[in-house]
Amino acid sequence: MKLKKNMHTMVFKIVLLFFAVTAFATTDSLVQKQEVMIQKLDSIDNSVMGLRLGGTATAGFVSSKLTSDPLSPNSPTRDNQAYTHLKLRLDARPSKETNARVELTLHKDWHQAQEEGINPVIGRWFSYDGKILNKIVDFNFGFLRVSDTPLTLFTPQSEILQEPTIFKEHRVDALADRNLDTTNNRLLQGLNVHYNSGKLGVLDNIYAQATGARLRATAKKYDQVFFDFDWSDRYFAGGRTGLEAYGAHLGLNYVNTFDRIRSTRAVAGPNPLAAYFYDFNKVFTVDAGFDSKNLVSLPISFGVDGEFAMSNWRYRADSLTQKTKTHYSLIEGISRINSYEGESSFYVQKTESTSKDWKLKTLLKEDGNAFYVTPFVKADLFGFNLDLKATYLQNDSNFWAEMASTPLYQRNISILNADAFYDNQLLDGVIASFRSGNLENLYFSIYNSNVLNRQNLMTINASTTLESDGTSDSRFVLSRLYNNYKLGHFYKNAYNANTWKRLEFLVDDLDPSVNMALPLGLATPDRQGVLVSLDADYKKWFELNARFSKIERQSIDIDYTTIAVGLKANVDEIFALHNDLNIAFSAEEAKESKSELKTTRLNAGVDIGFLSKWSVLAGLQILNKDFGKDPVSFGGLYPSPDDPNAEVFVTTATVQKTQELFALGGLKYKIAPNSSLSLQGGVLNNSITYLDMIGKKNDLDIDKFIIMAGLKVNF
Amino acid sequence: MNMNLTIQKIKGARMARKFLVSILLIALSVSASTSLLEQKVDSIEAKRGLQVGGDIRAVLLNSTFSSKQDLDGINRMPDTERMQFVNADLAFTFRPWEPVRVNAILRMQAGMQNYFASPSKSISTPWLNIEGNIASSFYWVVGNFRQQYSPLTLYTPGIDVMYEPLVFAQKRQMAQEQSMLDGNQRLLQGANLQFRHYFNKSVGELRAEALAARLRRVQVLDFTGAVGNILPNPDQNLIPTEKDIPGASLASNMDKFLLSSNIELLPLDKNLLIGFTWMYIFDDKKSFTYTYHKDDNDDFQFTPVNPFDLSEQKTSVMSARAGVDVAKILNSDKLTLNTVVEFATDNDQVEKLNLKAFENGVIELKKEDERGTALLVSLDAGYKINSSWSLALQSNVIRNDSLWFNNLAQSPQFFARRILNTDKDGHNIKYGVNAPLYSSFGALYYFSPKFTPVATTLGTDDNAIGSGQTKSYNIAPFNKNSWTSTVYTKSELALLESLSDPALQLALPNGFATANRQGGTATLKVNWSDFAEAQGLYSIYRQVKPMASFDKASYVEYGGGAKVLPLKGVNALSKTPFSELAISGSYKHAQRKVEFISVGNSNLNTDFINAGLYIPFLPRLALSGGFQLINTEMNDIAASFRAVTSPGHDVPLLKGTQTQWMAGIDYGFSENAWLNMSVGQIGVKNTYNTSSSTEYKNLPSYYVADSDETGSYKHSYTQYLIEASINVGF
Repeated sequence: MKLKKNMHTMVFKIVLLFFAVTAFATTDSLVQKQEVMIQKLDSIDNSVMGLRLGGTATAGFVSSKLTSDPLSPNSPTRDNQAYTHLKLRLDARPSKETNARVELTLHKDWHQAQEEGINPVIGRWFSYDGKILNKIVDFNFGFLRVSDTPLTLFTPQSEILQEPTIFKEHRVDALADRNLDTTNNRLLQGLNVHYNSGKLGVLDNIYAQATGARLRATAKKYDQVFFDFDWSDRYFAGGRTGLEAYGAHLGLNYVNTFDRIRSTRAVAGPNPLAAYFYDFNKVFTVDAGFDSKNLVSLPISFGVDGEFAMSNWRYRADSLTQKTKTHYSLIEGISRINSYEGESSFYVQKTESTSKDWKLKTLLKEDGNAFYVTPFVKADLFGFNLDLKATYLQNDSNFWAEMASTPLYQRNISILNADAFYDNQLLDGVIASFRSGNLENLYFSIYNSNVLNRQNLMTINASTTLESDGTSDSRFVLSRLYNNYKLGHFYKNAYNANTWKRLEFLVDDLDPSVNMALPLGLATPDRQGVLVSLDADYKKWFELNARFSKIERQSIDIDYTTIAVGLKANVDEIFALHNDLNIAFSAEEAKESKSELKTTRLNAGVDIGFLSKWSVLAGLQILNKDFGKDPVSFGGLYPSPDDPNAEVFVTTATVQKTQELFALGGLKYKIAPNSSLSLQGGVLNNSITYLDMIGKKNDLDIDKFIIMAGLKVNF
Repeated sequence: MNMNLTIQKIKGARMARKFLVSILLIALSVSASTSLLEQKVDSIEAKRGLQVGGDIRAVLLNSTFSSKQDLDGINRMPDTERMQFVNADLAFTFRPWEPVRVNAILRMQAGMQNYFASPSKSISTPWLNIEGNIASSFYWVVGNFRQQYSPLTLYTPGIDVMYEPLVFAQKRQMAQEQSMLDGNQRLLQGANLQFRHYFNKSVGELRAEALAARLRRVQVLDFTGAVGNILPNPDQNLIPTEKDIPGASLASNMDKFLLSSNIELLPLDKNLLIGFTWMYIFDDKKSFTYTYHKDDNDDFQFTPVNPFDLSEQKTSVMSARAGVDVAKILNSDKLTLNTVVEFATDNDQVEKLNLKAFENGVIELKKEDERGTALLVSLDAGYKINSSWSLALQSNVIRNDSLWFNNLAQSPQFFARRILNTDKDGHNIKYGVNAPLYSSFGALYYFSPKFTPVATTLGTDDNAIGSGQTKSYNIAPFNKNSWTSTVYTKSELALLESLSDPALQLALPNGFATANRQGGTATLKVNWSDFAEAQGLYSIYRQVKPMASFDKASYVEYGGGAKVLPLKGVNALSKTPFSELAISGSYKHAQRKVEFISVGNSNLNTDFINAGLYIPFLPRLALSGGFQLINTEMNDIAASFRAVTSPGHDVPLLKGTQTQWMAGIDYGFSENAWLNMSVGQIGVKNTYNTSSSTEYKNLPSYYVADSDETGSYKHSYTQYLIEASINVGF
C-alpha cells in the first residue's frame, strides 16, 4: 500500500515539475524534459517490485467485400473477421535493475457454433532485461530488438512520406502482430550486452557491445509443409566497440553469421541427403562521424557520418563421402625358389578399406567492400527547422551483409478474401500474383484461431506437397494430425523478421513498390550513387520533406532515380487550436532505366479533431506500377496446334501496368490514451492492365469494399 | 513548501491526470511526447486495483463398469475410467475502477498424473471481453457476454429437476459452470449495448438494448473429429446420402450473424411492463466458402465447408409483451399477483422443392417465407396466509405453432451426451441418448475435460494407435459435457430433438419456445415457515399440427414433491447443526401419446423419482445422500417409431430403468464453495426388441445377434462411482 501511495505521490511531483517546465521552456528543451519525465514515469512503473500486468485489449470487426469479373460464381465474396484479442504483458521484477517480461496472446474469434475446445494462450515474448553495474551495462536476454550500424546489424524500413495517420496506425498494428516495429532494430532471440562508460576524462564515452542470437534451428521440419525446409542451425554473433569525444565518434563493428556444421550432421541420421549446404557471412566495418552540435551549441550544426565495410561470404557443401584407404603391410613368407626348404623373406601386401566421412567443400566465395558517407546540416533559425543530408554510397556487387539487409516487407501475400477463387484459367498466373497488392499488404493483417485439422495442418509422408493421390500418404502420420481437440493460432501478415542468406535473396521476389533502388537499404549490394534528403518545417506550421536519389548498379547498366516530396500543413498549430487539424500530401516516383519500370505513389491524408475526444481520419493512397519494356508474362503448357501429342508454352497474359488505390475514412473516439473506438470504411482497388493471348489490351479489376469497427483499450 | 502543500491538496490520480492533460495543452507542439506521457500515466493509473477472481473445480471420479451380459469380457476396453483433473478459471479484470474495463479468464487445466513430464496440460481462453459504461445509464460490452430478454426471444432453456438432492445438484452446477452457463442467459460474442434510465415513478424506467453477434463463422472442421460433430458421420461421402443427416456436422459454410434490439418501458414504478423485441438472424451468403475434404477414397475433393447442410438462414423475429404486477400496484405484502403476456412471430426463409416445376420434370428449389407465431402467458399468484403459511401458483400457457422458429430461444443448454466409461462404447458415444451405455444420470451430472481417451484397440505401437481411432474422438484430449452454450441451426435443432432424452426433455425439449405445442403448466407450492415446502405440478400439452400419418401428439406431466426440515422446530436442537437436517423427495410422471393412424397408439411413459437426505452434524460438515430413479417405457409402436426417427436407435428400446444413489460427506464453505466426498452407483436395466433389427448401434459390443433367439434382449449394467470434488469460487 505504502509503495502504491509513494508511486502516486511521485506521479504528482512529476506533474508539477512538468508544469514548472512548460511555463518557461522552449519547444526543444520541452521535448527533452518530457523525455526525462517519460523515463521517470517508466522508472516509477518499473520500481514496483514483484509482478505487474499490463497490455492491450482489442476487439473488432472487419468485412471485405470482393468484386471482380473473373470470380467464380460459387466463390465466397465476403471475408468477415470478428474477434477479441488481448496482448497480456507480465513483468516480474526480482530487483530494481532487472525485469523479466512475458507477453501472451489471447484470441477469440466470435462465434457460438460449437464447443470451442482448448483455445490456447500463445506466448509471444520472453525476455530478461536489465541495467546493471551502476547502470553502465545494459543486457537483454531472450527476445531482443537491437541495431548496430546500417552495414552490420540493421533493419531497412519502408519510408512513405507523410503517410496518412489512418494508414500508419494500421501498418503499426500489422507490424506489432509479428512483434515488429517501425524502428531499424532487428528482432532477435539471444543475448545482448551493451557497455557505456560515460564521461571518462576527455572522452565522452567508450562503448562496447556484444550480441549473439540463434537465427534458425534445426528443428523437426521434415514433415511440416507450412514452414521452411532449411536444415541450418544458424547463428549470429556480433560485437562493436568505439569511443566518443569532441563531438566525434569512431567505432569498429564486426558481425558473423554462420551455420553450425556439427549440429546439422548430428541430425542427418543414417541416410543423409546427398549434401547439406552452409552459408557463412562476416562483415567488418569502421564507422566514424562528427556532429558539431555535440561540441558547441549553435543554431546551425553540421557533421558527417560514414562507414566502411568489408564482407566475406562463403558457401559450402557438406556430404558424406566414401573414403578408400590403402594400407601396406610387410608380410613374412617362405620363398622356395632357391632351395627346397625355402628361405624366409618379406614382401609388401596392399589392402584397401572404405569408410564414410564428412567432406566439406567450398562452392562459392566472394569478398566485397561497401562504404557510405553522409554529410549533414541542421538548422534552427527564426522558426525554421532544417535537416539536410546527402549520402554517397558505393557497394561492390560482391558485398553481402545478411543482418543488415533483409527488409520486413518483401512481397505480396493474399490477406483479404483469401478464400476467394477465380474461374479464368488463362488468368491463373496473373491472379495468383496480383490478387492482392502492396497496399493490402502494407496495411492489413488477419489473426485467427482455427480448429486444427488436416486441412490446415498437413503432414503427408515425406512429401512436401499436397498429394491428390491419397495412397501415397503415410496413414500414421496423418492419424497423428487428427488432433482437432484444440485451436491453432494462424495469421496472414506480409511482415516477417527473418533474414535471408545470400542465395535466398532473389531480386525478382521483391515487390518493386517499396525501395526499388535500395531494396536492402544502405547494405544493398551492387549500388553506387547519391541520396539527398531534406526535412524542414516552419514553427511546425508547415512541414516539407524531399528525397532524391540517383543510384547505379555497377555490374550492369541500370540506374534508378527516385524523387519524392511531402507537404503537411498543421492548421491546429497555425491557429493554436486545441484539436488536431492537419492535411498532408506526398508524391513519390521511382524509375529504373533499362526496363523503364516506374512506380508512382501518391498520398493524401487529413486528421480533424473535434470535441476534444473525437476525430475524423481520412487517407488516400494511389500506387501505379508500369512495367515498361519488361512486362510480366504468364502462361502455361497447351497442346501444340502442329502436333496434338506435344505441348508448347503459350503466353496467356502479359501484365503491363497495375494501379492500386486505397481510400479509407473513419471516425475515432478517444476513450483514454492509446485507447479508442473507431469506425472506418473504404475501398481497396487493384486494376491490372494486361495483354491477352492475341495482344489485345484488357483490364482486370479486383475491388474490395472494406468496413471496420474496432475498440482498443490499454491497461 | 508550497509544492508540498499543493501535493497534499490533490486527492486521487484521476485529478492528477486532468491536471496533467490541461497542462499538456500548453505544449501542443510536442504532441508526440505528450501522447506517450499520457499513455504512461494512464497505464500506471489503470493498474490500480487489478481484480483477480475465479473458480477452481477439482474432481476425482472413478467409474467402474460391470455388466452381467459381458461376463466373458468380450468388450476388452478398460472397465474403470478415472477422471481426475483440476480446472482453474482465473478471472482478471484490468482497469477495474475505470469507465472502460477488460475482462479475461484464463482456464488452466491439468489431468492428475505424474508419469510423464506433463503436470500442466493447457491454458486456454474461455472468456474475453471489453466493457464499459458512460455515466450510470449506458453500459456496453464487446467480446463475450451473456444476455437474456424473454423465453420466446433470447433465452437458453434448461432442465428442471424437482427437489433434486443436493449431492446431485452440486454436480450439475459444476458441469454448467464449466460451460460458462449462468441461469437462462444466452452466451454470445459480439457487441451489446444497454441503456437504462429511470424517469420518475409514473413513467418508470426505460430499457433500450441492442446487440450484434456472430453466431457462427466459416471454419473447416474435421468430420472425423471430436469437435463440431453431433453424430459420428459414418461416411465421409462428400455427396450427402441418407446417412449424412443435415445438422450432424456443426461446420458452417457461411458466417451467421444476429442483430437484435429490445425496448422495455416499466411505468408505474416498474409495476407495468411494455416490451418489444426485434431480432434478425441471417447467414452472410456472400461468405459461402469451399475447401478440400478427403473422400472415402482418400482423394481430395473441393466441396463446401459443410456439404451436408447448405441451407441459408434468414429469420426475423418480432415479439411484443406486456405485464403487470397487480400485487405491487395494490401495495399488498401478502398477495402475489403478476402476469406477463408475450406474443412473438417469426419470418423464416426456407428453400423448398418447386412443385410446379417438378410436375414438368424439373427439380429446382424455390425460396419461401414461413411464418410462425408463439404465445406465452405467465401468471404468478400467491398469498401469504400468515407468518408461517404461504401458497404460490406459477402457471404458464403457450401456443406455439409448428412453423415457429427462433434458434436463439430454442437452442437448449442440455444436449444429452455420453460421459462415464465412454471408452466402452467407442464411437457410438456420439449417438448420445441412443448410445449403448447411455444413462440420463451420467449425462446430467458428470463432465470431464478428458485428457487421454483410449484407442479402440489397446496397444502402444503406431499400428494400434493408427487403427485405434474412433469416428467420434481421436487419440487426444476431448471435452465431455452435456451442457453447452451452442446456438444451433434449424437442422441441428431437428436432429437434437430426435436425440433428446425422453426422461428429461419430453414435453418441451426447447423450453417455452418449443415449436408445435399448445398447453400449459401449473405448479402449486405450499410453504410452512422454514419447516417444510411442498409442490405439485401438472402440465398438459398437445401438438398444434400433427406429423404426417399421425394424429396430434399429447403430452402430460404431473408430479409432486416436498422438502422437510423436521428438526427445525425442536428447541433442544435449534443451536446445533442438526436443526438444518433436510429430507426431500419428488415424483414426476411424463407421458406422450400419439395415434399412428390406422396402426395404433404410440405411448411413451417416464417416471422420475428423487429422494434426498442432508444431515449436518458439525458446523459446515454434513452427510449428504440422494437417490434417483427413472423408468422409461415405450410400447411397440413408440419404440419402433423412435427406431426410425432417432439416429443410432437401431433396436427398439421397450423398457428402461435407471437408478442412481450417492452418499458421502459434504463440507460447505458457502453456496458456491464445497468439498464433497461420496460413493455411489448408477444402475441401468434396458429391455430391447431385437426381432426385426439388422443394425445394433444402440446395443453393447457384447451383444451377439447370432445367439439371440428370443427377439428380446435384456441389458443391465452398473457404474460404481467414487468421487471427491472441490468447487471454490473466489
